[in-house]
Amino acid sequence: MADTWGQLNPDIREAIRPRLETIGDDDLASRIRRDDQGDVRFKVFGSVAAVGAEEALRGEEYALGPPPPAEVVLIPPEDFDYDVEITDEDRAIAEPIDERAAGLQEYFQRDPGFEEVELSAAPDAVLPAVVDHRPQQSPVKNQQKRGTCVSHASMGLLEAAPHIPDDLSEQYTHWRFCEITGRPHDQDSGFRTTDAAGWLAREDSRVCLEENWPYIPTQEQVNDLVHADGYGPPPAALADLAFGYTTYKLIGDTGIDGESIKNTRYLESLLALGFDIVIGTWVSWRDEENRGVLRPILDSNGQPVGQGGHAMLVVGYDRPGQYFIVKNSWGPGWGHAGYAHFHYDYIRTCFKYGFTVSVVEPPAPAAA
Amino acid sequence: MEKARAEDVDELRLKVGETVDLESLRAAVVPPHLMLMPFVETPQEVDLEGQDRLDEDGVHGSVFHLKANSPGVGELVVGFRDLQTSEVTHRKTIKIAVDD
Repeated sequence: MADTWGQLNPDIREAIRPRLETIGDDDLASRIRRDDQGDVRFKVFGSVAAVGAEEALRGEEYALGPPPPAEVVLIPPEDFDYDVEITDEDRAIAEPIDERAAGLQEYFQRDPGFEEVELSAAPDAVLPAVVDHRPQQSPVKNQQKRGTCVSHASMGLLEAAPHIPDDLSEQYTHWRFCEITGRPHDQDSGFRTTDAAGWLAREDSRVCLEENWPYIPTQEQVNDLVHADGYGPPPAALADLAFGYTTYKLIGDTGIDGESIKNTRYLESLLALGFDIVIGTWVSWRDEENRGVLRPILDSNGQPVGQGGHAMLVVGYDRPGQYFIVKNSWGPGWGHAGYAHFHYDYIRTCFKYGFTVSVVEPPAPAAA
Repeated sequence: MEKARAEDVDELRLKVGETVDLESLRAAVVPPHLMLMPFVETPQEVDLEGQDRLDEDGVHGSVFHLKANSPGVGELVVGFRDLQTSEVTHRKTIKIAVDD
């Protein structure tokens, strides 16, 4: 661990030592981490934090090494504009999905979990206890070292349709997203997850098969191509732009009520109706636990500690087990054969927004 | 308001009172670095006035709002720290020159 007691600024160490008489140096060192304000403050982590340590550190500012040259103005997540902008056009497009979910409105009116955990896990006559769409999914892919999760989750949703091939090109999709937004290709760019729904519903944003533009695994390789004027979709890709969305629904964050990405009952309802859901989430879990059920790491205000956003595909739930089944894009060796099990409380605290689709391009062939 | 990407620049030249939005380094949200915190260490000639996160799923990063406050030269350091281990995972030094 880099931050040991011995590496604390000596003046600070001496200043707080009298207040931590009952705590050995090693004991304290094992229990403090930088908090979400970077190198300005410390907080005590863990339920077995040393007695007196938290009180001693609370409200104080302790810096590693020299103090910061100026007060840092930090903006908490709730002050950011992370609300999805849902236009009248978006609402109109979503009507077929809303109509299918309408019969379950009473069920998903409110997630009972925050108030009544036992009720949240109890069997319910309305929906099945377990829904698992994993058998309908394409193979788990690996985005490797690039920030292409939005493309991977979006393509995963499309590939889950029975008549769509399993091998769409995330390479083309990410390139197209950069083109739409004007982002330079020679930097690792991410996107707001929900923007992908509208982009992939555009007629000029259909995507091609993987074989026509295979994935480039590192940004360095992309940069080399960009700087050699050799980065762009090959002719075979441009001749094969056939796949996209038609009917989608954006899901915002209105807490645990109604059609909200944090309402586990709403997600259960969509999954039970056959939908999968692309979500954007704060990454705030202990990854060494990825073969178990992942729970959120939250600060003292209940906010996710992690600052990075990530997109994945929700494909099922297990209410008795109190977790959702989520397809990731970090290869089949991660988690449960490439899938995560996220505790219901993770959804309630860390999910930001999402979307689902009901009709894709090309449309499914009519039943005989 | 000047804008710069830390990845692209090795030196920033500013005048006293001038502000610059410096985009931090970028790092994909993939194992093993899932919980990174962007940081900046400024020399005494430059103040950090604020910080906004990149509104992007897929990458870690921030925009630092900097203001030159006094003439001189120094070095600014940007990078990422792992929130779970406190280890510095990425680091870059940028020269700063502030003129009157």
